[in-house]
Amino acid sequence: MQLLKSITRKATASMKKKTLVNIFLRFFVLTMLLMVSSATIAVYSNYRMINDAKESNRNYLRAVSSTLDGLFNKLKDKGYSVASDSDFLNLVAMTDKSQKNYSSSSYELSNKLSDLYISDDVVDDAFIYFQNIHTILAGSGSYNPTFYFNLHYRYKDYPQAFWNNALASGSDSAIFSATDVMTQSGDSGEKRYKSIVPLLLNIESLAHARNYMIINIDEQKIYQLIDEMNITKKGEIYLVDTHHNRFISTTDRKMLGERFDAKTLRLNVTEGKTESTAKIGSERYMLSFQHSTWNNLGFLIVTPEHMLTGPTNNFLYWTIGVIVLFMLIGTFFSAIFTRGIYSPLADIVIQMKRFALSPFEHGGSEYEYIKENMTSLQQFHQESMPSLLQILLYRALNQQIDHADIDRLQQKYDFFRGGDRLAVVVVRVSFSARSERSPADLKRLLAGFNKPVLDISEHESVLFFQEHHAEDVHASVRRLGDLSAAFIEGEKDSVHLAVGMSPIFHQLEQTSQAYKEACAVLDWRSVNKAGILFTDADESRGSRASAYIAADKKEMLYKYMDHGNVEGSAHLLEQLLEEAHAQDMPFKSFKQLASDLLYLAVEIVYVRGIDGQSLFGMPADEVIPYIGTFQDPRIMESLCRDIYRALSVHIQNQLQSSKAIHGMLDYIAQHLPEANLTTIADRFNMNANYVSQYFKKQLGVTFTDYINGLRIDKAKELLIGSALTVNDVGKQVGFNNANAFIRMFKKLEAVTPNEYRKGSQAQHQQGPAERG
Amino acid sequence: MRSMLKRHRRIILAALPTAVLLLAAACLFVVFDKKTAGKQAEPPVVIKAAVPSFARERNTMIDLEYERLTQLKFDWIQFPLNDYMKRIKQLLASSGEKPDIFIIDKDMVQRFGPQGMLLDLQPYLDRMPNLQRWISKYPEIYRSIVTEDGKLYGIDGFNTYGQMPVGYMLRADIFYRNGMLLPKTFDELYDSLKQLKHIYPDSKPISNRWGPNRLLESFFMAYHTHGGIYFNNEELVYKFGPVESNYKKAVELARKFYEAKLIDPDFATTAESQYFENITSGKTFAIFNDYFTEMDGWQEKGTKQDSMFNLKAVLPFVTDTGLQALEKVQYPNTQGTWVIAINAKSKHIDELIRLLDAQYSDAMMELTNWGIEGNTFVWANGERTYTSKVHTKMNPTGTVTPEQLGVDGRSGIWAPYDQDAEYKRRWGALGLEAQQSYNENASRIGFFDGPAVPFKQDELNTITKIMTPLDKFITEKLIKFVTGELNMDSDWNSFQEELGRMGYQRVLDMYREKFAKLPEDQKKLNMNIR
Repeated sequence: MQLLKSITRKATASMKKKTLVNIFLRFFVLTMLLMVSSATIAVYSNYRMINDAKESNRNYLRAVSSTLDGLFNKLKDKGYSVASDSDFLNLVAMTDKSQKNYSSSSYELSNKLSDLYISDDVVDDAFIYFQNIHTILAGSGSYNPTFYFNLHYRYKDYPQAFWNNALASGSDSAIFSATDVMTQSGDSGEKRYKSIVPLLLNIESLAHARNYMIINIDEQKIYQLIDEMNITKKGEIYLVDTHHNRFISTTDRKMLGERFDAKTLRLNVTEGKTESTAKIGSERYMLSFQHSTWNNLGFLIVTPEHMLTGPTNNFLYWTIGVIVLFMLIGTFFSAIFTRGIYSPLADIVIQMKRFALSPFEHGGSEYEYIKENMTSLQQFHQESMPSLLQILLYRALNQQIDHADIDRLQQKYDFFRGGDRLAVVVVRVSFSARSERSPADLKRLLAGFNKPVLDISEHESVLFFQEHHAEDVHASVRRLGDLSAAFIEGEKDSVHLAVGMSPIFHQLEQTSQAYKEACAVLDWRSVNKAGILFTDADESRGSRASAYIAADKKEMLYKYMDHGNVEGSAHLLEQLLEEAHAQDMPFKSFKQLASDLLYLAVEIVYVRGIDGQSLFGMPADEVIPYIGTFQDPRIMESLCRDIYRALSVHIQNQLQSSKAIHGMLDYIAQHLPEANLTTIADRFNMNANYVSQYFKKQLGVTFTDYINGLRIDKAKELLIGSALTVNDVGKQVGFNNANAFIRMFKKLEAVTPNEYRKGSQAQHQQGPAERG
Repeated sequence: MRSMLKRHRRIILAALPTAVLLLAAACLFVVFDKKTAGKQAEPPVVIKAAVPSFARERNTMIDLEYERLTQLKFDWIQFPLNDYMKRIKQLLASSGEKPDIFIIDKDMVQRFGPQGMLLDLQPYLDRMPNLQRWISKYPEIYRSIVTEDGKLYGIDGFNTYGQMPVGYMLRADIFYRNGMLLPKTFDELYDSLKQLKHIYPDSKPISNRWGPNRLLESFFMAYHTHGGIYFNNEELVYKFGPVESNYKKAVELARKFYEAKLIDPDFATTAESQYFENITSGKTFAIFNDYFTEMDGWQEKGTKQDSMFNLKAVLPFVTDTGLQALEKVQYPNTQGTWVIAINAKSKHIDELIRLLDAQYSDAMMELTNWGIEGNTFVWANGERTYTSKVHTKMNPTGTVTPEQLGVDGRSGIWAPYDQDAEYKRRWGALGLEAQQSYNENASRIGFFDGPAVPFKQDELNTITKIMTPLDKFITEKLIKFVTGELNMDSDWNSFQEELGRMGYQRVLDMYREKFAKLPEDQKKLNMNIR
């Protein structure tokens, strides 16, 4: 935001808005195009991905099918190879175990089974059930069938009877759904041993009894085998029992039953439809199926589509996110750069905004705005021309104008073309407090005169006359005189107007000189002349007598004042003023005289520490500048008289009242025990409160502090110089209460009276001892 | 408008690098994020270790402590104890990824070691102070595995005293209930069991586990001989049992028992679980050559089915020749046929060496055998005792089994086994008593192993080449002789001839030759029993 602010605001709000919208739209279109293309790529790549997955699933199926078929067939073949084994045949032929060759045959066969299967990593155990001799012979040894099926190697899903029936169904070999095998282990009872896929072989087709073989395939090993095939897998593989439409085994056993139900898979394998999709829950799955060479076995690969499309979709989401982010960032930066966007219209509006008085309305038309403001600017220009002239005049008065400037200005403006008879008129005015007129009235008057007017200060204005003939100048001056006279008519006591006019001059460069001369006319006018218009510089110049007070008179005046001599000082002041009039003193000198007199008074005020505010109604140091604003000598005179009178009277009072304090102090010293505010008020005929204030004013300390200090000093004398008790000393110096005395003593001396007395005694005793 | 377009172009030009920059940053961020995530998840060294499962989990308190102390993670490859060796053999012979460290037996060490598959520990011994200390304490361990050219392809962890852990047991109650005294000779046993078989027709008076040889060994030792090459305790010389006359007597005795249906016809194949079932369900009355540690368990289970069930260990029976049967004495060097070996091609040799050495430290032995002091064991009267929560045979009220806690001496990779802990843990009153009585008579009934003799690889190959088919042949024939399938006269002679043809003499000579080369102080029996 700081950055935003730091860039100069150049465009109007709506211009900016339009531009921003434009930029945003372009970004948006670009973004949309990018998104559409990204999405297209994603959709296409997903399509390819799924196709690839189908292809790879087909390969996977082929590989798994051939591997597992190979494995199962190998196991089956091994099983059938046992069928022709002589030891097997021996055992099958037996009716009980008493035959001599039972042990050796079973030993050999068990070893063979062990070699055939247990040495085969995928088989947990393989056993043959001999019904005739009621024995199970496994690679791991021989067992009693009841013990084996119920305790040692209990199939969770298949009791012994199940196998007998399975065999009765007539098939030679079959693979059954995976099941857990439970076993008895030690003291801890039954526990899960492992998951097994049983393969049943009906190897007995020769003898009368039921002899079957079960090869327990370690389910985990099947999948290890698949894993070791190093085929890129895109899904979970399932072994399906196609006769019973149920799963035999799955890589993810938890999915069995919970999420998948073989019946819900719309695979019609008999019609050769080997690929389809299924929607389970909220997920879509891709299914690929292949028959095994085993007639009840099929392989199914289930691939969650999100697994395939997920990465691409992820990439797509990322891409879209990044694009959108960049769009926003781009828009943001553009918004910053938009501030620098330039257009002629905007530039005009911007320029216009610099001068225009009315702000640009949000949503308003730029053209309307420009039109309105051009009109008002033109108007403004016309109105501001006089002001411009005033500035020029001001510069002219102060000599800050040169020939080149004048030439340039004369070409540009018409007000210097009014004639070559020029004159400057200085109007000085002062209003007394009771006047009904105000400086503003005079300004109005001068403005009505229809000549360029320049207000130098509140009390001084300058008129600039420019005419073609000297007569015209004089006529104007006369007219001004009339107007002025009318202005002060009836207000002669309160309004004082002095007008001074320069000699007529011809060159604008001389304006400054003319102004000085016009001022001189006013400054050097006689003090005896009042409120009159001067039309000529030299005409009424007063004598140049000294304006300063003679040193002896000054000293005398000071002395009179310092002694509070009211009459004497008034008399002397009158004498001085008389002298000034008698000399026909110029106004400027008289002003100086008045200032000097006042300065003397102010000095006395400072020296004596008198409160100037209460005496003069203003702070003492403002009195001199104040008198400088007056244009009428008579007002200055009366002001001096007032101030001198007030001051001398004040000093007289001060001198008289200072006598009272001495009386009080004397009285207190003599009557210390009984002296208090009341007795003193009575004695000196004053209010007790006033006595207190008076004391403070005269001595700078409160009455109480003063009298307490006096009392304690006296007490100290008594403590050292007499044997009076502390109580008595207290009474003698005016404390009726001993405690009050001790407290006060402690407060002022930091020790109690007793300690003080002891301390001083010790000093006295010690002194002589040292000397001795 | 054109100037505006120009401006736009400028903006786009300005925005484009920014966008590219940000895109790059985003990509970098993603990549970096993945990298750092990968770094954080970097696991400690994972050791693939193959061990017997011992029917227990590998996540007990002690297992975790073991991982913490060794600062390693383990990927356990476990096979059930009874087919562990078969499975590990397959695993090592297969082309797949092999474990870093594993337990194998000494035969396999001799087979795989010289092939370069197993790490020769000899150069690393100086980096294994704990193992060196262990070896100096039990030099037999080292001698039994070091090859003649000084290669050490594996090392045993056993710390078993010389002891007599196996023997004869009888269902005393069955004998007494049927008015019989416990037999002292094989003849008495034969008569008693015959009567009992008559009373209990579906019984299997003598049952057996772990194949036919284990049972038949009892008969051989009854006549002070052995099923293969053995060290004759009386003559202090290596001999070959099957050619001795006592051997034939032993087979005849077994045959006599079998013919009377006293031996289970499944004796050659009975699975271990079935064998246990036979004992505890009262089908079997006489137990030959089995571990006393099992006694209390059988007794407990048996009592559940038959309240009178009473298993009693008896001293070996006397044969018709007056010889009292012997029972095997087990030592650190002979009992420990299983050793720890390291895959020579492992990527973590240093860690494995450190791990192996750590296993022989006192701290680790204490951990795997006893656990954590105060938690699973305490010191009392100068020896360690399991705490009351540990369920042992002697403390049946304990709430957790040593297996559940991991203080069964099976944590780690075949860490040294403390026999004291084993006694405290697994032995019940019956077993201890039985072993005690056997140990006391060890000098009379002990069948002691001879000193280990070292062979070179080519010699071992020769031995294996001869002995493997020979052993198989003998076993097959023995079953047939015992069951009566073969004739004790005519068939026996051809059997003996075949043995000679198969070249046992050559192997026997090799043993004798090596024995002769042994230092004199090693040419004797180690008769320390505790």
